[in-house]
Amino acid sequence: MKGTTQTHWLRTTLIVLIVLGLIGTALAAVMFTREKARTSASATLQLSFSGSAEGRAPNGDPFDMTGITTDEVLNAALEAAGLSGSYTAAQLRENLIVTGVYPENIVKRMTEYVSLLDANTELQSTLSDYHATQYTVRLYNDFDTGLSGVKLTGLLDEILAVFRNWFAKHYTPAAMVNHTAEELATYDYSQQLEMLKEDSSQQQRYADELETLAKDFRYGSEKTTFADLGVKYQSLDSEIDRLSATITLNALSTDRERLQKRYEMEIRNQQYRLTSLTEELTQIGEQVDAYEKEGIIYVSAGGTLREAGGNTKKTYDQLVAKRKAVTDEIAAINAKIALYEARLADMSETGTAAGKTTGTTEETADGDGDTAETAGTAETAEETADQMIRMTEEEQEQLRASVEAGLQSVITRKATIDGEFAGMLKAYSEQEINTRTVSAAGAKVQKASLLSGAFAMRALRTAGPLCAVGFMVCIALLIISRLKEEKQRKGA
Amino acid sequence: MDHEEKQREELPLGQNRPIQLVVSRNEAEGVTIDLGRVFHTMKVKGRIFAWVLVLCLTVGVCAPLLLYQFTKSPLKVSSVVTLRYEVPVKVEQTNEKGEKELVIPEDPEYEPVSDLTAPDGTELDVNQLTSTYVLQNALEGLTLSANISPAQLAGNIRIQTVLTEESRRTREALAGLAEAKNASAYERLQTAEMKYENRFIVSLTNGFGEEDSRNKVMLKDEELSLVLDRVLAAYNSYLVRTYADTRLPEDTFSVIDIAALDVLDSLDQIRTALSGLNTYITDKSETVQAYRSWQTGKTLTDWAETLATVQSVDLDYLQARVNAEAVTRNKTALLTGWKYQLRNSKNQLDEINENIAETRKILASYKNDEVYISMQESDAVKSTRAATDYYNELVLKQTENYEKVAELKATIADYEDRIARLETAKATEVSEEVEAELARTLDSATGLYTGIRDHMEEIFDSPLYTTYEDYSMPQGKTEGFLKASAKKMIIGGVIGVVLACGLWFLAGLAPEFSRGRKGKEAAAK
Repeated sequence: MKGTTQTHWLRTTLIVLIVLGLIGTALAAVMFTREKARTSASATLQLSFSGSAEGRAPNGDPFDMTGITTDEVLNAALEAAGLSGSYTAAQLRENLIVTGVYPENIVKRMTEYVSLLDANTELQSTLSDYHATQYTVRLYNDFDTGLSGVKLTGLLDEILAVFRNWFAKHYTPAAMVNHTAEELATYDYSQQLEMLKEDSSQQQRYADELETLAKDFRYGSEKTTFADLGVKYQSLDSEIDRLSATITLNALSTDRERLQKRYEMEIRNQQYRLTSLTEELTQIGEQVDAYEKEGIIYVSAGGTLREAGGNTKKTYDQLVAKRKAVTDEIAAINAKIALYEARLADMSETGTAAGKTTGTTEETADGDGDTAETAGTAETAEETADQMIRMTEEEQEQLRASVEAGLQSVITRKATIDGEFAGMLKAYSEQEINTRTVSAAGAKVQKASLLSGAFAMRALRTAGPLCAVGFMVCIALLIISRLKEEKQRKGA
Repeated sequence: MDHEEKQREELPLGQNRPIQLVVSRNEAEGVTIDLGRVFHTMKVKGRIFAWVLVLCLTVGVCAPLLLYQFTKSPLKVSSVVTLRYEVPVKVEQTNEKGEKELVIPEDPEYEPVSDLTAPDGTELDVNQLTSTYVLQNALEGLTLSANISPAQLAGNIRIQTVLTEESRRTREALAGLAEAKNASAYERLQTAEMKYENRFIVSLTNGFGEEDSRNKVMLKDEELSLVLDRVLAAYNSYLVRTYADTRLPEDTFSVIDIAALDVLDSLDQIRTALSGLNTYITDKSETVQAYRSWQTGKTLTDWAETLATVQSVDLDYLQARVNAEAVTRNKTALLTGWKYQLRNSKNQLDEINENIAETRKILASYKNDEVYISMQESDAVKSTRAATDYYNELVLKQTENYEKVAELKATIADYEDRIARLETAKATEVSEEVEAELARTLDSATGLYTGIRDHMEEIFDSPLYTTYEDYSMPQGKTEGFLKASAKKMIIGGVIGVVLACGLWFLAGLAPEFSRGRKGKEAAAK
C-alpha cells in the first residue's frame, strides 16, 4: 500500500514536470519566434603579417578595417558571388559588422583599468599599444530572407577574399610612376637628364625607405635587397652626372641658341635677386650691430634663483638667424650664377672654337683670290677649310650621336632597374599579404532555429522556473498528504 | 528519578547504555531527553522529512536564481580611447600684463599629442562625445532590438579621464596635507594644474530610460558593444570633421586661358599657380609630406621635386625664349600691362621704405624699461635695461620690411629689364611651336596639380588622416545566469538542507518534551 502511494506521487510529480516543461518550452518557442532573431554568417579574419600587432601595414602606414565596407570591395564581392544584380553594396554595408577580438587578459586589464588609479606605466603602454590582429566579420541577412545559409556564407567568403586583395593593393608599397620614354623624347638633352635625375633620386629614396622597413627581404636568385637597388640607382645617378657633364661642357643641345638664352635669363634673374638680397643683408647686419642685448640679473630669493631681464635674447637670436638665412641664400644664388656662367663659358668656348675655325678658313679664302698662280693654292686652302669645318661638324655629330646613345642607354638601364624594383615590390607584397597572413576561417551560419543553442538557453530560462515551481508544489502536496496519513495512522 | 533510571545510570559506558540528555536538573522540575528515542522518532518521521529536505534543497537552490532576475546589475561595456594626432608645439610668451603664457606661434612645429589637447592646440572637450550630433550619427542606420534616443544614450555614457602619474602624485600629496587641515595645501589643491594622459575611458551601461524608472529599455549584450563602438567611431568622425585640414589645393590652372592671354602673362600665371601649389605642400606637416601613395608610389616631397622640375624644364625654358625673342601677341598691350605692374611695385616699395624710415626713427628714440632690483640681504640695488615686447616686435617688423623691399626690388628690376628689352626689340609673332610648348607647359602644370590633388584626396581617406582616436573594442560581457548564481545556489542549497535537518531534528525532539511534560503532570497528580 505504502509503495503504491509513493509510486503514485512520483508518477504525478513526473507528469507535472513534463507538462510544465512542455508548456515552458512552447512558451519559449513562441517568444523566440516572435523576436525575429536575425540570420547571420560569421567568419574570423586573422592578420599575421609583420607589423600587424603594432597596427602597421606592410607599407609602414597605420591601417584599419573600414576598407571592407567600401563600394569597391562590396561590389566586387557581389560580382564574384554572382549576385551583383540582386543586391547593392549599400545593403551589404548596413549588415556588415567587423569587431576586433581581444585576449581574455587584455579584456580583464581594460575593465580593471578604471579602478587602477595606481596603474604602472608598463600596464598603460600595453593597453594603448595593443592592436587587435583577429577580427570577427559578421554579415547579417536583413536584405533577403529567402537567401540560403550556404549563399550567405559564400557571399561572406567572397567579401573576405576581395578584401584581402584590396588590402594588398592599399597597404603594400606601390611601384612609382615616373616619366615615360615618350614624354622624355619631347625635351632637350639637358632637360631629359634633369627629369631622369629627379626620377632616379626619388626611386633611390623610396628604395632606402623600404630597406629600413624590410631589411630581411631578398628577391630572386641573386637575393637582391632594397639596399642593393638603392646602390643601382646611385650608380645610375653617377652615369647621369657623367652624361650631364659631357652635354654641359660641349654645350650640346637640340637648340643651342635657346639653351644659351635660358642660361642668360637664369643669370639675369639670379643677379637681380642677389642685388636685392645683398642690400637686405647689409640692412639686417646694421640692425644686428645696433641691437643692444640687455644684461641679465639673477636674484637669489628664498633659496631659488630668479632671472630678471633677458627679454632681448630671443629677438637677437631671431635677427641673427635671419641674417644667416639671407647669407645662405646669397651663397646658393652665387653658386647658381657661377654654374650658369660656367655653362655659358663652355658654350662660348665651343662656339669660339667653331667660329675660329670658320674665320680662319674664310680669311684664307679671301686672301688667296688674286692670281691664277695662287688659284690652286686657294682651292687647296678652301678644301682644307672645308675639311676642317666638316671635321668639326663630324666631331659634333659624333659627340651628339654618342650623347644620344648614352641617353638612350641611361633610359634603358633605368627602365630595367625600375622593372626590377616593381618586381621586388610585387614579391614583397605577395610575401606580406597572402592567404596565410590575411586568413579567413570558420565561416558559419547562425540561424535562429528551434534547434539552435540560443533556443535551448531560452527554453531553459522559461521552462526551468515553471518546472521548479511545479516540482516544489508537488513535493509540498506530497508532504501534506504524508502528514495526513501520519495523523490518520496515529488516530487509528 | 525512578529506580529503572537509576539502574541505567549505574551501567558502565559501552554496554548498551542509552544516552540521556538532561536539559535541566532541578529539584523542582527536571526533563531528561533520550536521544535514542529522538533518533528513533526522526527515523519514524523520515518518510515525511526526506521530502521536506528535498523541498528545502530545491527552494534553496532556486531562490538565488529567482533573486538574480530582479537584482542583476545591468551590463557595462568599457573602451579605452587613445588620441592619435599631432598638435602644434606651444612656446612661452609674455602677454600684455607681463605674465608668461604658452601660445601657438605663427609657424608652429608639430608633435604627437601627449595630453588632452585638441588638434588645434586648444583644450579638447571630451564631453562632445555625448553631444546630440555625435550620438545621432552613431545611431543612424543602426537596427536595434529596442529604440533608444540620443538623450537616453547620453545618460548612460560615462567618460573618465586619466591623470598623469605626476599629477596623480601631486593630488594625492596635496589631498593628504589638506586632510591634515593645511590651509595652503588646500588652496594649492584647488588651484593646482592637473595634467591628463592622452587617453580616456568611455563606459556605456545597459538599461536606458529615466533614472528612477522601473521599465528600462534593455539592449542585448552584443548590441550594447556595437552601440559604444558606433559612438566612438562617430566621435572620431566628429574630430576629423572639426579639426582636420581637408582643404585641397586650389585649381588655379583651369582658369588660365592661354589662347586669350599673352604668352608671358600665361607663363606668369602658371608660375604663380605653381608657387601656390608649392606653398600648399610645404605648409603640410612632415608626417603628411612623408605619406606614400598606394596609387603612384609618390610622397608629397616627391611631388614638390617634380614641381621644381616642371618649373625648370618647361616654364623657365619657354620663358627664356619668349623673353629673348620678345614673343608677344600684342606688344603695346603687354608693355602697358608691365608698366602698370611696375608702377604698382614701385608704389609698394615707396610705402615700405617710408615705413622703414619711420620705424627706424621710433627705434632710435624708443626708451626701454630700466629695471631696478633691490637685494634683500645686502640692501644693494642692481639695475638692468629690459626691452619691452613692443620694442622687440618693432625690431622684427623692420626685418620683415627689409625682406619685402628685397623682393620688390627684384620684381622691379625684372619688370624694368623686360620693358627695356621689349621696347628696343622687334616683337616676334607667336609661332605654332611656341603655342605648342605653352600648351605642353600648362598640361604639365595641370597634370602636376591633378596628381597632387589625387594624392591629397587619398591621404584624406587614409587612416593616417582619419584616425584621430584609436579605441579598443568595447569590453564587457554578462555572465550566464547559472554561472552568476552558482555560489549563491550552493549556499542556498546548504541552508535549505540545514534548515530541513533542523526541522527534522526538532520534529524528533518535540515528543520528548511532550512526554516529559506529561510525566510531570502525572507526578503532580
